[in-house]
Amino acid sequence: MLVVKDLEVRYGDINVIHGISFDIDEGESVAIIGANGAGKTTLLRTLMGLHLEFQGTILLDGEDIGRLPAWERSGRGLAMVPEGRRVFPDLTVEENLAIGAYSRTDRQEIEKSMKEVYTLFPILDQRKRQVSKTLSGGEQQMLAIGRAFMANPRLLLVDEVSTGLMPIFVDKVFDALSELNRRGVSILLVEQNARKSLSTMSRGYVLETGRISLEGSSEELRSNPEVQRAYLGI
Amino acid sequence: MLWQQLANGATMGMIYALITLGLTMVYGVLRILHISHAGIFAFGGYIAVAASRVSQNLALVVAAAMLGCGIMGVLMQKWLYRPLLAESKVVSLIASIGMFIFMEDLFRLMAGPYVLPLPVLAPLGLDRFETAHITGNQLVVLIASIALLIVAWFLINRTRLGLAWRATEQDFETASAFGINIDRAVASNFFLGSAVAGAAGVLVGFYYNSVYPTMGSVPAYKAMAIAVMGGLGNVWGTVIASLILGLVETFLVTSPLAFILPRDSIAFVALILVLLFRPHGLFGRR
Ligand SMILES: Nc1ncnc2c1ncn2[C@@H]1O[C@H](COP(=O)(O)OP(=O)(O)O)[C@@H](O)[C@H]1O
Ligand SMILES: [Mg+2]
Repeated sequence: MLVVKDLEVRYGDINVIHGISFDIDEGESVAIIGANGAGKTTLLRTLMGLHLEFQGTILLDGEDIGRLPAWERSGRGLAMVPEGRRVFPDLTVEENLAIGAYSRTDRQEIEKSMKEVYTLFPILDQRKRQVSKTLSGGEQQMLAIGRAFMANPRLLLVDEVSTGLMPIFVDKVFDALSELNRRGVSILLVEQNARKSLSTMSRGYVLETGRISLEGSSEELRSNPEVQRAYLGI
Repeated sequence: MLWQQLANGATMGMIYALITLGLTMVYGVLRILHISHAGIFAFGGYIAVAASRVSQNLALVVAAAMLGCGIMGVLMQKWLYRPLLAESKVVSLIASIGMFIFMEDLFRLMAGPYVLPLPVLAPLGLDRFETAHITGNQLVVLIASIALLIVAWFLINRTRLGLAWRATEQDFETASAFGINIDRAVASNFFLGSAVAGAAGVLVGFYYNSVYPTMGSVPAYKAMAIAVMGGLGNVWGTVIASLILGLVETFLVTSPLAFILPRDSIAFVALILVLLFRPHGLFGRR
């Protein structure tokens, strides 16, 4: 469904991603792990259309989306859980979720999605009229996932959901992602937390300073000595 | 006497609120100080003068001015502010001041340096509905401006478009990632803000029966002061700060203090005090 070929991304004169290629099939869950500064956020922002200084091709269902503005990519089934959550601070929980569904027109289905988000994260239901800057970090992360869920995406881009969360929230958030994947949403997750992402996603890539150094199924990567040494601390 | 003063003050206050509303909307979305907003306000007055040759119905004239000013605002955003968005904010500020001066001179060149009358009548004969406390014209201006503020509040807070504005204002990147066409959100935001300023221009022209090239000068800087007092981007703060200013001005000019504190200086004295003691505005947090 998503095919990325020879992607090079830069900030001005500085190249940050040096020609990477990878792909994600319909319904797959893929992790890209990499240390701080490897280029994970830059990659996701480029895929979403928020960063436009790049070369190479980004194909969604065979169509080149590389020159489309972000809002049109959203209409084609891409949604994102951005780094640092980025919930709209002065909007209520409910309004944040409504923004998630902004590209959709199926009113009744939107209502249904909202109920599902509240079932998945009951705390959001209790806080739905609260402005979201008053939520805790974990709650904001749930809201960021719920907002992306509201977009009813076909491919969900997830950036560092585990950062800054208490371990019980980390489990909850990853459970929610697995649940979305079971429902048929393809997921591309970028993480420093290799342990958690390789146990939740089915396939992975290792991104090292803008280059893909390894790829394979999650089991293969977990048993790879280099991954164990550099990312799993074994 | 007290009632008349209250009516005078409230009328001025509501007009200030209309002018400032657009300014604070634009500030919210683009974070620029849009001085030429006051040029659009005066443009509204001139559209009204032209439209009054066709129809003397105030409601129609206001509608024409709102449409014309809304379009003007969108063009200004596209051709003046958007190319400068990547530059420092000071660049847009200077461009905006330049644009404002240009507009004032354009009005002078096209319509002459005179004070033009604005011969329009309110619908339903409202302007003839006088009491001892309030004049018909004041009543018209109050009703029209309250109605416009309520409509603007509703659009901003209760519609899908308003939700897109608020999201764009808070985080335009994330907003665009969820399908909001931010170009269109910014343009429609400018349209509404400018249309409301245009309506204010007509109402001021109607209230004083005069339209002239520099009618935007004092409002330009007063609206800036009110926006800061009310908290930039805060609609209710803007309305309350406007009412306070309108009332304080009206009561002070008839008091002995008027000798040392002319009417138009009050906004700036208040601005300085607010910046010194409550830099996030009278109602701002943090
Ligand atoms: N806005 C920016 N301007 C210039 N360089 C940037 C910018 N954002 C990130 N970088 C650089 O790009 C590289 C990759 O950053 P990033 O994508 O944030 O990595 P990660 O998400 O893997 O931590 C880093 O070297 C970082 O310093
Ligand atoms: Mg990152």
